[in-house]
Amino acid sequence: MRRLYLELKNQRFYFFVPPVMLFILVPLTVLATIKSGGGDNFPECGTISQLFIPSFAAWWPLFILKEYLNSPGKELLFVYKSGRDSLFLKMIALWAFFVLHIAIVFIYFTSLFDFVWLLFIAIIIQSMFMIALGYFLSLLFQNTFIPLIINFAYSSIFVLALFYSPLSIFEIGSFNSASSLSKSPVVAIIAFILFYGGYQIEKRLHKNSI
Amino acid sequence: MITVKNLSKGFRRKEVLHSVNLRLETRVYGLLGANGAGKTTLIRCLAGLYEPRQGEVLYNNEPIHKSKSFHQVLGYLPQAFGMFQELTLYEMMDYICSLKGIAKSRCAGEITRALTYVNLEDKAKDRIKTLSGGMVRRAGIAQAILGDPKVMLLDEPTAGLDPGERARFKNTVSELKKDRMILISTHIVEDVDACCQSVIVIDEGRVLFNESCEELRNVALNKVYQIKEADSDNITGEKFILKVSEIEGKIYHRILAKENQDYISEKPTLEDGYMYLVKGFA
Repeated sequence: MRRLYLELKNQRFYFFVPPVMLFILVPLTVLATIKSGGGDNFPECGTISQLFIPSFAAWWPLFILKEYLNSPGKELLFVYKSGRDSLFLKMIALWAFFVLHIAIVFIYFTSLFDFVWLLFIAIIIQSMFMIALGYFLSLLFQNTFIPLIINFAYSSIFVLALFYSPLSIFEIGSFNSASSLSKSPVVAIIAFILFYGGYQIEKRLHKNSI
Repeated sequence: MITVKNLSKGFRRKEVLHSVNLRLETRVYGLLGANGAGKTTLIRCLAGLYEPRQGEVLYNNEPIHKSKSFHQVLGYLPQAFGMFQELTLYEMMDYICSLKGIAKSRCAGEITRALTYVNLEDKAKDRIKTLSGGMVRRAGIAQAILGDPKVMLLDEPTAGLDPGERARFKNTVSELKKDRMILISTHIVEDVDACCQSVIVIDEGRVLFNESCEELRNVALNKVYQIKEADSDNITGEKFILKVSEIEGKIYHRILAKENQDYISEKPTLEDGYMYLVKGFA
């Protein structure tokens, strides 16, 4: 945990990008949407949340992976085996940390809407998918810039233009019954597969770390 | 202490190390070789960063990948060092302490000791990105000595250091060398001469030499000649011009010859011995 804290501290100003998005941009945008729709537009607010929240889930993980993949002297992170970290476990810890932030936003949402918990579940699964995708692609390409671009391009394209595409991980509807989460189980399974694939590459990375 | 048995390593079709055999004891070794000779690959294999294609590296007769103690006694300085640019020097050292499994109660003392060794104690609160290239290099050496390691692998530790810093590094090695195996990879022969007790010469992935510095000098005994430029053509057999110099208006060549010549030979330096080996004269 000490190392994870220092890795997050190393991000300096970039660390604050996801909290600013979650605690300022998302609530303000949701409030603006409510005002413009007379308070009866929870589905639109769900879309806004799905656009802004999952796309920033991989932010911290990618900046941490950058040190492991692209920093000068990265061998040091692999050479001292007594404290060698599993990147996979680090990704899970960062997902849990991000979920904590989402939960705070959704506690606020409970004061605005009735059925927010299904949207919350959809978003934490989408966030897990984004982290798994970033983890897998970073290790595959040995680079974190491409996954960062793919991450934001995917979220923007599928929320803004191709929301109804079968390739979209985003949910549509009023989130008032479990059937609203039609895609989430599949998204969760794909996330597990991506984590597994990434972990297999990570094991090879630990054997030949440069 | 460390035994390298029949070690080969390659990347795809390119073979970088060919059946390397070494035995490293508690002393300071200089690993000499040209760029691309395989020094860094060998050091990374010794550190367990690369899985060998063939052969193994043993620490106290146990393969390093199975040894629980090896990574606790290892200090490693990579060729390039500069991660965690936004952390302070103290925080970076704290991170490495944690990686090395040093108990938290010992960390503060260890960090102060290591930074004092490299004369960076006053920079502890500075961010890594604000340090000069030489300071970052010294910070790299400081992290390597955290935890009082018994095996130190230093990959080009003096690269980018100014003469004063290089002298300080040599003093640091002299202070550290007791009861330790230190392997210093470099292509600066002077550094080896100044702080190493033994020399390993590597060329195209093969170990050509593994003896004392004196033995390496003796390799070129009676093979080095300082002669006038005009007499240069009188040298028989294969030759290599080590240095061209001007003395009292006349041009002299310092020549390495494969065969003994009729001229008076010069006392060979470590560099002469090294050149004699890598030029294939031996």
